[in-house]
Amino acid sequence: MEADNDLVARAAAGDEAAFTALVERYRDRVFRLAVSILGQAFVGEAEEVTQEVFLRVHSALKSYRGEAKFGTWLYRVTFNQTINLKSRVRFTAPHVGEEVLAQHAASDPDALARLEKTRRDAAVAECVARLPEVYQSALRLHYWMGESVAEIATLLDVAENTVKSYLFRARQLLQSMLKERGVDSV
Amino acid sequence: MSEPGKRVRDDGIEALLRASMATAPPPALPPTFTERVTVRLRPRRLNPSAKRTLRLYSFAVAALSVGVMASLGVDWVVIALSLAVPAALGLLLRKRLR
Repeated sequence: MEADNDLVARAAAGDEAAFTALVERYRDRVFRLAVSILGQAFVGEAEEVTQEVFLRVHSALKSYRGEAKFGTWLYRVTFNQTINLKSRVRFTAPHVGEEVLAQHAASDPDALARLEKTRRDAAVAECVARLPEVYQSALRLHYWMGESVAEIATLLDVAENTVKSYLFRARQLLQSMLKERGVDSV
Repeated sequence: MSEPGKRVRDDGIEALLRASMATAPPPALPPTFTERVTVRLRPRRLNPSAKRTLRLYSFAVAALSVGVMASLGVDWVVIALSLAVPAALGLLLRKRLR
């Protein structure tokens, strides 16, 4: 497999095939990182950010000096671009009203259990959305997408121990937030 | 809190997060994604017939403008300037965009 730096050099010289190879190599990771920052309800927006990241990186290839690994640089661009979008547009998950929940409850034999689960999932999602950005991202990558600590460390450009501490701290904060809302996590 | 108590609480939140967050399968990009990116990177150029039409239209508009201005008795220097300035700006813009 051709090294990233060789592909970058060829892509910077205008070789479309080399850039396509880079996109193929990194597209899924960039997308997962963007989704992990925006949340489950914003998959379409994450796809757009992923596209914008590659377009931006392509126009900046000539200025890439190779001080950091290409992947590290790419993830940093992704993180910054996604955070920028998130700060410009207010991202809130669609709210499920009590009436809608009650309607479901009336038409389903396992209604109560489902209703309870929906309420609990909504509470978890809302509490996760109130955590610091890196905690949210680490949680979604780990618990939703099943990424390993090592992979999360690569995507967030931090040490594995830092990811472990993000996850630990995030769980602690969530536990107290859920307790305040009366959601029992034990 | 005692160690076993802490562990139980940590296991509890761990299980809750797994049950609540892993309800939907992780999303994936569509297979056409890479193609869409590479298409957007290609410079957009007009095809030859569109270029011909655009040139014809420009000449027709310029000729019509000259005719109208001359019939109104506008000075030829002003007419020449009114054509030369936009043409020069257009050429400059085209050079910059390349």
